[in-house]
Amino acid sequence: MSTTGEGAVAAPPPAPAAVPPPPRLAVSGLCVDRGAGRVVTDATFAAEGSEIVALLGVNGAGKSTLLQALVGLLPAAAGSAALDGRPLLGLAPERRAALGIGYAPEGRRVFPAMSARDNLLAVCRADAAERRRRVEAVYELFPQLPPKDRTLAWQLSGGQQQMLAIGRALMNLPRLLLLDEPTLGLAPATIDHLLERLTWIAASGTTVIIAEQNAAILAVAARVCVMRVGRIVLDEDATHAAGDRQRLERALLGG
Amino acid sequence: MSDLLQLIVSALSLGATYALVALGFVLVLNATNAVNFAQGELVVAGGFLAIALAPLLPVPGIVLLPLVAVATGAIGLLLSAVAYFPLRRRPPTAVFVSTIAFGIILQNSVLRLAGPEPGGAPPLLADGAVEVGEAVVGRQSLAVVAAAAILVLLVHILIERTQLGRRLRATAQDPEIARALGVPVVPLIAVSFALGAALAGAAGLLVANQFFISPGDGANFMLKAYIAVVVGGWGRIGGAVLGGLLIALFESFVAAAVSQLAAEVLLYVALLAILAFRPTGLLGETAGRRA
Repeated sequence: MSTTGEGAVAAPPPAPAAVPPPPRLAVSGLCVDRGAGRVVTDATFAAEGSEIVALLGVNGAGKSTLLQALVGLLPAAAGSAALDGRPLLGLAPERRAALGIGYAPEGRRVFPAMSARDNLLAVCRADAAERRRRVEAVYELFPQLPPKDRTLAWQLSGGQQQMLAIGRALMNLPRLLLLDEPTLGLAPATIDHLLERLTWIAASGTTVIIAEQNAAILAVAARVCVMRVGRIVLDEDATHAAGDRQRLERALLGG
Repeated sequence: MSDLLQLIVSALSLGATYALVALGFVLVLNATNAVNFAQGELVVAGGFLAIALAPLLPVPGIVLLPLVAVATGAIGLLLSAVAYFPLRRRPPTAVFVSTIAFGIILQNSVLRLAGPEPGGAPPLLADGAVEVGEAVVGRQSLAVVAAAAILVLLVHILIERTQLGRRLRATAQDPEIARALGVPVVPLIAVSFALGAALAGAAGLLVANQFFISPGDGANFMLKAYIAVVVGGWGRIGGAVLGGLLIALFESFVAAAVSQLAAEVLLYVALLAILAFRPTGLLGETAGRRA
């Protein structure tokens, strides 16, 4: 062992508690433009593991744009975003996916002419045996899917397509799951089932961020960020927000 | 009766090569939404590559086939690098023009290297004919149909049963979302071009024995592939194959019954009628959308 090595032993690094680990997702000052207009302005928030964060806002508030900038489908104009301390902005979408982001886009966007099974398999970066195991895990989570194994995705019902889109986003075991309006167009019973499953996903250690107009997701969210005209105007505990509907509505609609 | 069988086998062997060209065309079209107008010239390149290789490697055509397919596949990669990727964010017409330009360069390279004379590639296995009952059927025709059928089957297995095929389909159906979910879309598009070009090159080798091939034939193959795809329906692999077979049968029968000129004219009339009355193709589309 060299003397410098002994020196390092003599002067131990600071205790781990002094430097807390970076949050799962840290977004700071994020601005996103669409065409000539700024759609997201100065978004700052963080999310931790096993947490469900509701990103609530009316149509056009900038929720989808914010998610697309995190996924890499839109460039950010300013700001930063990091997953477990690793900067995301500037990376190609496929690189970000490899770092641990799963994404279920607005409108589901399942691969229409592929079977449910092939939708899941196509995006999975693992060997064949592991791919099959993960399909089975998704099928256990969403028991509506196994009977549709060979059915082309465009022939599935809206609810089944949504389960498939979320299952597809889980195929690479993401650490951060971004869902864009997963309850849109679903029957109330299907929504209840879906929300229950989302709590299971979060409990397994995945951070889940759900962009929604539907305040029903507050029932499963730990935190809520309310967006209005491109800005995050409220960021607090979900039970607190759910307890005062009038204040929540003011945050959503302004005035 | 014996003439009829001979005519059918000959038409099927022509149709089998059309089918390969159309199949390659559709693979690229699906993966990129770009129309690859160099596809016909890639057939010519494959044919002349086989003609050039034959004296150097005195082996049957079936051995040359994979070599020619790999070489034209490499030309397909080059095509994607110079004529597709730099223009992929431009309107589709930009890629129309750039692939036409690539085709012209390819055609003139062949003309320069091989001269304007038509050439014949070596037979797949052997020349000659076999007797089927009273009919005499060319060995080469049968071999071409068999080779093309095997290639179509291999492509089908690749696309439908392998992970690479799933990723190619995902890329074709929604490249943006495929990318966001971690599918390496750019290399997969390049693979689609290589595969499409390899099929064109294979078709060139197959056609260049029986029917000969000259450097100016590219436009004809391009048109036939285009018609095959219109007949069979955009966006489906089986459709391109069926379309290729149908138009070759149509062409051969009308040519035998009336004349080659009538066959060409009627084929284009049929094309216009299909475009006017059934623009999704005779067989329709595979995937619809749910409201």
